[in-house]
This record gives sequence, structure tokens and C-alpha cells, in this order.
Amino acid sequence: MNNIYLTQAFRFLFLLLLQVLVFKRLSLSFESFNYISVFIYPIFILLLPHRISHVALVVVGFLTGLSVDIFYSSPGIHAAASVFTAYMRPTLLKIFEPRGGYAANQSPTKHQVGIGVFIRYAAAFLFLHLIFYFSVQAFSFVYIKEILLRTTFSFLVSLVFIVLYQYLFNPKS
Amino acid sequence: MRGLILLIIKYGGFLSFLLLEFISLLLVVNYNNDQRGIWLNSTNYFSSQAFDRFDNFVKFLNLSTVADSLAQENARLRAELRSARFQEDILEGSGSNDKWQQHYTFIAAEVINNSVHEFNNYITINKGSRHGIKPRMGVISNEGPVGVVVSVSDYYSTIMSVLHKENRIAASIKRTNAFGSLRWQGANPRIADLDEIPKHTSVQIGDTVQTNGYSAKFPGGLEIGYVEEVDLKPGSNFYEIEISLRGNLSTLKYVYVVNNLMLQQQLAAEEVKDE
Repeated sequence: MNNIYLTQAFRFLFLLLLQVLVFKRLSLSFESFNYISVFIYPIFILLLPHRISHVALVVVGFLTGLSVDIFYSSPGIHAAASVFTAYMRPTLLKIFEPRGGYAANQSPTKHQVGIGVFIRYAAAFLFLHLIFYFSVQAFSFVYIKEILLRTTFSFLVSLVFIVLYQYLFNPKS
Repeated sequence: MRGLILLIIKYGGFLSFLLLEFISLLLVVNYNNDQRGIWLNSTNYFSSQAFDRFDNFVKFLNLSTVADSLAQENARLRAELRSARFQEDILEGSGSNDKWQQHYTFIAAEVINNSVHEFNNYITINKGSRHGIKPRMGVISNEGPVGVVVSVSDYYSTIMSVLHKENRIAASIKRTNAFGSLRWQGANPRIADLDEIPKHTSVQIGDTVQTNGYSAKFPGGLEIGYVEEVDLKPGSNFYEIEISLRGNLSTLKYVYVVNNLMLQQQLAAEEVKDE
């Protein structure tokens, strides 16, 4: 029991540091082509255990986004996107549910659900997150073209890193 | 209570989503300059529209007060006109401004009762002797003469309208200065007759008819109307002229009572004539 919380807490810290120390700078280095920002922290929400309640999911999503916001000095923007994707997570999980279903105490990792289901699930999740994030960032659909361009490029690059993360660490739960 | 708990269990995810999303967006708008700018701009747009409409509504409600004050202002400005001044110079334009003495002042009033369809029409206004109105004073509007004050109480006055068969107004053809007197026919409130224009003067259709100030009731040069029809009966010395009146008395709202400051002077000088 404790083990699960510990795992999640550790993952949260690890992803947060990875995001703000590595990927935030990586995004900044694409200065001439500012359509790419790499987001890896959403997989923390994505990889929460199945049995977590919907309310807790949304609250955890909010806190996760807020933590990232502190480092990005953009209060509320990541939080808004995270709350949205956390809320959508059960729906997405249902859509991409494998034939055997999910094990209640587990997380939907590559190890648990297979690479095919994981990529589809992670892609849908990430896409929703990014489009919501960039929409809130632009805060006006006047910039719809910018929003879509940023979403597309960031989506492709971020997805590569997220899948890479699964292969590197191959978390079981 | 049980229902409420069930509701929260069932829709808890959605409710917490709404709540936290709301908080997030609140943070976004309050602590990010770009988004704050967009937010303020958009809300300003809507709120300014709303304020604008409300403002217009309030303006509409205040319209009568505004019109009252405008009428006062008009009365004051009319008194500033050259035609409201008495010229003491022998030659016009040869003296300083001091030589122009105040000849007329005006008292703004609101029409509270009016008729145009009787043979003899009267108008009631909401100013009376308390405001300096006396019988026999002329009354004008921005469209020409309206009538003559016939009776006055403390707060109200009755005006014998231009549309009254007994009412005569001294009038001239502007082009030739030929003078006659204006008299209503008793039918159409927009048409009046101009009598006593001698046949040796020229009258054309479209000529402007104006007050000439002879009667001491109206300042001179006030436009009354335009010549509509000219007729000369054989054997008559005077034209029969029909005039279309400039003002529409049936929609009259504000009038100005003319106070002739030189009235006593003029009457005293003319006294000899009557004896």
C-alpha cells in the first residue's frame, strides 16, 4: 500500500525535476523555431493507478499543474490544462481499454498494457493536454493557427520523449 | 442530504473539474500579463457596451431635464442676439459694443396645453407672473412667432395663438420690406394670410415673410413663413397673399416669452398718436 504512494511521490518529483530542469531549457533552446515545447510531466497524471477516484484524480491533476506553473511562472496555465486532462483520463482509458481490462492497483504503463495501447492512450492524452494548454496560453481563438502549429510540433516531440521514458525506465506500476 | 451526497459521489469528478478549472483560469487571468490583457480587453468591450446602453437609457430618462436646461440656455442666447439689442448709434457699426443696449430678454417656458383645430386656438404655458410674464407680451418658438400672452396667473399663462382669428401680427416681406398684417384663415394650421400688402410693391412666390418689430411684441427679423400664393383682385389696392407657416404649432414643446425692455418708451412715444 505504502509502496504505491511512495512510487507515485517519487515519480512526481522525478518528472517535475526533469520537466523544469531539462525540458524547460530544451524548449527554450528552440528559440528561432518557437513552436516546440517538450512536455513530459503529463505522464504523471497519465500513469496514476486505476483505482484512484475521479475527484482525487482531478485534484492531483490540479496540484501537478500548479507545481509546474511555479517553475514556469505562469500561474494557472498548466493547472488548467492538467485539470482538464485529469478529468478526461477515465474516458480515455475506457476508449483504449485492452481486451483483458485493467488491473485495479496498477498503472497503465507500457509494461502493463502493451506498447500499442500505451502509445494510443498516451497520444490522445497528450494531444488533449497540449491543445488545451496552448489555448489557455494564447487565451484567444484569434491565434488558432499558432495554437494548432504549437500543438502539432510539441505533440510529436513530447510523444517521442514519453515513449522513450517508458523504454528507459520501463516502470511496472 | 442523502441525495446531495449521492449527487456529489456521482458527479464529484465533474464538479471538482469545474471548480478547479475555474480556479486555474482565475489564476491565469490574475497573474499572467498577456492573458490578463486579453481578458480585460474582451470584458471591457462587453462591459463598455453594457454601460453605453445603460447610459443611453439614463440619458433618455433625463431628456426632459436636459431639454428644460437647453430651453433656458436658448432664451439666454436669444437675448445675446443683435436683434434683441437696441441700437443707440445714429450710424450702425460706428460705435462700440456699449452702444448696444439690451432691447429684449426671453423667458423659456414649456407648453402644457395646446390646440390647433379650433377657430380660436389658445396655448397654456408653465410660466406666469412669478417669472416676469405680463399680458400682451409676444411669444416665439425657434420656428417663428407663436402668439401673444392674454392672461397670466402666478405660475401659468395663456397665449392667444397665431392660429386665432382675432390675432394680428405685424409682418413684412423680407425682400421689399413692404409690411402688412398676418391673419389666420381658420382652417389649415400651416397656412395663414398676409393682408394689406399694397399692390405697388412686388411680391413673388417663395418670398420670406418675417416680423418687423412694429408691434413691440416681437423682435424684428423673425421668420414666419414663405409666400405660397399671390392674388390681386381687380379694383383692389392690396394683394391677397397666402403664406405657408414655417413652424408647426401642433408639435410645439418649448416657447420663449419676449420681454421688451423698451416697451414703455415706445408706448410713451406713440401715445400722442392715440389722442
